[in-house]
Amino acid sequence: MKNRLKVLRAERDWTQADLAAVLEVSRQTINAIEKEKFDPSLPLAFRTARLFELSIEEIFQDEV
Amino acid sequence: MNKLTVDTKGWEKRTVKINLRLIMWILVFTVVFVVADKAELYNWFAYEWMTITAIVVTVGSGIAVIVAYIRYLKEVDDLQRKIIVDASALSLGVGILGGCVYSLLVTTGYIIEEEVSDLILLMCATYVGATIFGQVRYR
Repeated sequence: MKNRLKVLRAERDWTQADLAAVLEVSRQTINAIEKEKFDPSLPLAFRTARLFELSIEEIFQDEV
Repeated sequence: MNKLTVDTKGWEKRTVKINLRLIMWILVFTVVFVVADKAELYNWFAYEWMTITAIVVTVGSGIAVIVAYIRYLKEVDDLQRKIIVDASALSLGVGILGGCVYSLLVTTGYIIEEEVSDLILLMCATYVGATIFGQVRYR
């Protein structure tokens, strides 16, 4: 699954550790999502969307 | 843009706490199991009720490990949960396959002295290996 997490984070000048802390996950998780090695669960996707004040589809895009 | 100011201590503290709780129960189970096993082996138990008590305590601490593990799984973050569940699934698969093959080897006479601990060791080694692989893969 593609995502804009890295771009959105960079726009706000947040580090992976900052984002991980506020989303209550490890920095490793943020890194894996950004590198598209791992797809977040629905609750984590919702938390991310709420944090960036965007819809889930604006952050995560299906690759079909 | 806007700088994040978050208190990370709550989640980190919670994670450390559940990790420690799981480790503590695993240690308790290991000690109880080893003591019960050696006590039976070297006839330390003078009465049958002592043997039964040792078995009950071993089972009880084992159940506590399972409960602590379930709580641990609920508390860890998404990625860690995936790594752990993948490792558990592989360990279970290897355990079932290994158990079947082991049983076949005993039946055919290739293994003379069967030891359940061999299977447990195989499953533990698979779990540890798969967990390390997962950590490296998603680094």
